[in-house]
Amino acid sequence: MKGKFEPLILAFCCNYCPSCSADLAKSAKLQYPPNIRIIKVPCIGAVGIIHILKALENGADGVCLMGCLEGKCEYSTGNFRAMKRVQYVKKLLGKLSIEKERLELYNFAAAEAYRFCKLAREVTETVRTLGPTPLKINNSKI
Amino acid sequence: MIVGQQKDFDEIKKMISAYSRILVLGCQTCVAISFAGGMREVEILASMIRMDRKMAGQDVEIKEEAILRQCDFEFLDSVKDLVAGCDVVLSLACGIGVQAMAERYPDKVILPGLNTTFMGVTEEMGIWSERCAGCGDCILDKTGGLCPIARCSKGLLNGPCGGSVNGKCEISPDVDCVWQLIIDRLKALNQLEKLEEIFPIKDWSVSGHGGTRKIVREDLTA
Amino acid sequence: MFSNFGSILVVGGGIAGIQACLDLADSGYFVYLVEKSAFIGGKTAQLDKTYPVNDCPFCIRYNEHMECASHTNIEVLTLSEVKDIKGGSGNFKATIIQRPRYVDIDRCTTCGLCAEKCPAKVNDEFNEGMGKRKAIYLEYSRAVPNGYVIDKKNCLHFTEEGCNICREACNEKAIDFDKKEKDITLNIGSIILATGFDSVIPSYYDYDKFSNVITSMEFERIMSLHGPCGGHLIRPSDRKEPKNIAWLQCIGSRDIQHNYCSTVCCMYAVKQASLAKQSNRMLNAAIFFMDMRVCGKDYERYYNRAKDEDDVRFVRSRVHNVFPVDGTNDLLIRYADEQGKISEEIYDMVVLSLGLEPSQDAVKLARGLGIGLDKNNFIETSSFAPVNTSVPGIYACGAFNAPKDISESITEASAAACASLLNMAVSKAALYDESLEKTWQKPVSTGLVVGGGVTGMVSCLCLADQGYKAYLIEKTDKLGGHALKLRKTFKGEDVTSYVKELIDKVENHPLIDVCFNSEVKHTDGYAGNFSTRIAISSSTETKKIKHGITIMSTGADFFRTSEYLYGKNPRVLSWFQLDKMLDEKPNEIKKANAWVFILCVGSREPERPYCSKICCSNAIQNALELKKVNPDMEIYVLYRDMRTYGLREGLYTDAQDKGIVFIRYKLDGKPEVEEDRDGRLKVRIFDNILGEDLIIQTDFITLQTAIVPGNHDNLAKLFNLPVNQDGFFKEAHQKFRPVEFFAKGIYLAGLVHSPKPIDEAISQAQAAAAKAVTVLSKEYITTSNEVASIDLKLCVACLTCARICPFGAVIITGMGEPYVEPAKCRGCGICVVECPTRAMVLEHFKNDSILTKCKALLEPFMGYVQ
Repeated sequence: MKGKFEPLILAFCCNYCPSCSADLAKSAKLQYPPNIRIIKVPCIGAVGIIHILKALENGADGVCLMGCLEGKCEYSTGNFRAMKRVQYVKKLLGKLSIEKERLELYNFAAAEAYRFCKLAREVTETVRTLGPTPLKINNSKI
Repeated sequence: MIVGQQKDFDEIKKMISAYSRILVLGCQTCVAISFAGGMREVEILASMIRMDRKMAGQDVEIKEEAILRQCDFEFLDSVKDLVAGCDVVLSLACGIGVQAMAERYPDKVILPGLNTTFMGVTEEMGIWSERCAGCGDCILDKTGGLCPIARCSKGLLNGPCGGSVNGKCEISPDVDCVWQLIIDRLKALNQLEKLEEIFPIKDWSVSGHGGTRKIVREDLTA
Repeated sequence: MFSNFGSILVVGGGIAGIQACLDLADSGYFVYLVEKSAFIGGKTAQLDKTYPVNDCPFCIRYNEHMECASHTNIEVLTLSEVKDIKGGSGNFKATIIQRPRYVDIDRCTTCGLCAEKCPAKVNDEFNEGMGKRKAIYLEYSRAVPNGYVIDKKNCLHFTEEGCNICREACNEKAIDFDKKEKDITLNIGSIILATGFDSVIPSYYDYDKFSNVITSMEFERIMSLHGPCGGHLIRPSDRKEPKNIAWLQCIGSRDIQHNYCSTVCCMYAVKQASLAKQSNRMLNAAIFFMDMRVCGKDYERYYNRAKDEDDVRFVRSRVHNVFPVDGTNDLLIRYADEQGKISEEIYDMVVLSLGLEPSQDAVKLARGLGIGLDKNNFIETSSFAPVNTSVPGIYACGAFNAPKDISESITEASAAACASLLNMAVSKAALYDESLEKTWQKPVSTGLVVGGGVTGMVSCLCLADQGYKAYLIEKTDKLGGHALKLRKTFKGEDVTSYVKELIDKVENHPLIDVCFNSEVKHTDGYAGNFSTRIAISSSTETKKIKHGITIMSTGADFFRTSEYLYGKNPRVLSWFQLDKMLDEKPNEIKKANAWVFILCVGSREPERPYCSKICCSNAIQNALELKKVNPDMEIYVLYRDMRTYGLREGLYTDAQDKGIVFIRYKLDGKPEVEEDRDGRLKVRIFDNILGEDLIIQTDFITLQTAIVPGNHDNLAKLFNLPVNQDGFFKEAHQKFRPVEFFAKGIYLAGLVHSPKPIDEAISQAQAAAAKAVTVLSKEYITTSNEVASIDLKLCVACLTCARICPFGAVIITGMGEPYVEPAKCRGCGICVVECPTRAMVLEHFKNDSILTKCKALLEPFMGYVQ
């Protein structure tokens, strides 16, 4: 009855380097798991605490933020702010007893198509091992 | 500005555990500016509560709203319908707002979502510190514009004490000794002689020690 | 369609050519870019990373490549070469031969089917021959122009008649074998040569015989994620990870055929070695070098990091040969250290740090045009006009002028754009007037230049000669700055008279307003519309200036040392005191028997971990002058690394020929200077070669003191400009945007950026002016259309947005009225998410729409969990 668990991961992806890497992966015909769903944002610094929480609340098994490399933010401080916010939300997740590993921030250069795909696979694996989000499991009991 | 700090999530959780229809009500003035109770925080807290309930397999209905000031009764009327539709209001205002809500809505349970911490300034983004204790009898004219009541750990009027080391307070090397600051500033202003005057014993009756304070301005009252 | 008269031809589509095109096109000129190969990007596109920030060059330049290809003012002619140029400045007639691509770029969707089916496999030159590609190919997936090309030499359709496989495979019908080579004739006002360099092909070290002896560019491709090894560091012979790698420096540089230093090899070897170490901590990486020439901004730190943190081994020795190790593919290196002790070491792989030489085709072209070349075939330029060739109307930038790295090539490209703009100013003005739009806000067509040294004056003149008014703010009562103390450039040109002439021009230019004894008090506004208040010390009133751009050229200062008896003994001189003495007291020099130069005084020390760049060349140049005045004098130069980079190497070999003695010292064995009771000087120094202390009796000592940042804290604060850890201004990007700040409309040039000689300062001054003109020449101030706005009903003026905005775009007045400056806001959304009352909005990034998207993306997947 129970099908194979396929995690669903929402990726907030900065419109600069990380998106470029993702597009490059596409044009190089590299594959990454369909579990990763990408939302492009103007800057990773534009992703707020509420966005991360809402993604989880709406049933994402994992959330990742993809920003530019340290010091390489187009808007100078966006990726730094994202890093701090991710740390903050991880604390909040602790309060909710949701595994902190479900949330991660990655930094990309613009031509890292291979790394993008590799990380996409790794993230999917990590979340697959963690299992479905606790929100779903307990909810399905009702 | 009044600086607040949101209560620990576990404490909030316990407070609201018996209710399933909750209004999270923010205040968009002081506590919004100190990132404790504005709309931004309302959304985050509401989302947290929903997730928590979902994990526990419990139903919950949460409404999110914020009004300009919870300390003015006129503003409180605008959420009348929302209040009527919930079992409990989790107020993210300072203690004043929570009490005002309780007064305006006598038959509703109003719970505080944050601790009202102090009156202070935003030193920089994300850092706030205390400046005023509201003692009711300002002496800043004599102390170079720095308040020893609020900022000296002992509230000394004739400082510094022996615990002042290299300009820092003995309670922590991160805390400035305000008396050192006062002396430095008066020196820079060429007003060191002001400190030669010994402060008399302070009249604490106007600081609340004489009972709850109230001001009545006859020219303004109806 | 406007006439092409007055357009500009840029030859070479590498990093310099692209930059020159963009600057010109953004200033409203039409540019033709002629590129020999099928794609633009040049050598930079092949690099894995660039020093000193380890950025991927492709990542950062991709947008520029795209912009170049799609700009309405640029026509890119790939597969093209200049056949002939006739006429003169302002009216050249150029004939270009364009070879056919055989693939219609507008139709090609880069689906790759053609290449999949193509039966002809050839070595991939983009990967330095290490991988294979097909005869129909795309250099790399995002190469620009983004369309396939057929390599006629290897295509079976042409070589074996009749293969049509790719044409049949193509769904878009983009392939046409019948296209013919064609001649294009262009009317051109100015020409910019940006033809770059070729790597020297080594004729020794048996590069061809041993597969594990590779070139530096091959190493770049191996390390590249998109290279033939997918970014895995492996050696060619057995594709195993090497445990030891040796880098051999100065291959094809600083030898008999190449009496110059290639400038970039030390840094790229350091970069490659430290990246290799970072990918494999157990690796033994050794660099065999003569002098470590890392003299650009932050390069010394990069080198120190490689040494101290990445544990790269640095061996001071020139390796004479590489031998095979029997039965393996390993290589034996035999070398002599400074004391002459011979050692042997075995390495898995050897990387040859190849030098740079001008590209052969370019040399032929330049000769044909009658452009003066030096004995190494680099273009002959003057230090005072670093991008002008000997032919009026023809300019040159990048590695064709002298070996140089990316950031200097980019600077020169902008400088060449500026120089050719000056040449064309008249023809532009005619095109301009008709199309002014009155409805938009026009930029204030005035420039503000802060600092009246050579750099500031050159920038001012560049602006004024193009018809823009310029204000020059100088804090002292005269122009010229530190250049007033200089005598000659390393090429022997007279600085004094140049500066005098420059001051004359600036002071008498009708469009330049020089404010002496003045400083900036307050500034406000954005690119195209700044307003600055200037205080002049002679008056109590301040002067308000409206300007469209700002150039910072406040220069630097020299280090006042207390070492080596400086200031105590009058015979211990600083470098500019010697300059003065050469002019004023040649007799004293004639009487002197010995002279000692001490280098790196205050530079490259723990408290100042950077190289001052100009001291080595300056010392040798002055030593040679001393020899000229007094040939019998004994001259000793005490140095740490001899950094006569680029063409300055000629000075060093010359000095060695003239018998000047060079003695190397180490930081922990600094020379000691003593004086006897009569004030006579004695220098004690440990000689590494002899292994013992030397004592030199000398008449004079010259100290090459460090260049230190000037006092620009106040400017930094007023204009909100970043300063680096050494105290120099920090540009937007060290490699690719050397003269710009992050904030639009503010530029920097000269020694305020980092220590540098006069020719490099001048090219920065021109480059900054070129950038400035891209703003000033606009018909209206451009703003990003994605700008944050504030819902005033919700705003409580908490100041969060104003505090958090990286660009200072949000202003809240004392009365709590918030306002977003549209020209400054870049729409990043950082303020939107932090706004505590949710009053901040970004139209294209609304909170609600993101949340809806969140939900939408998550929903269809719910079905997976059952």
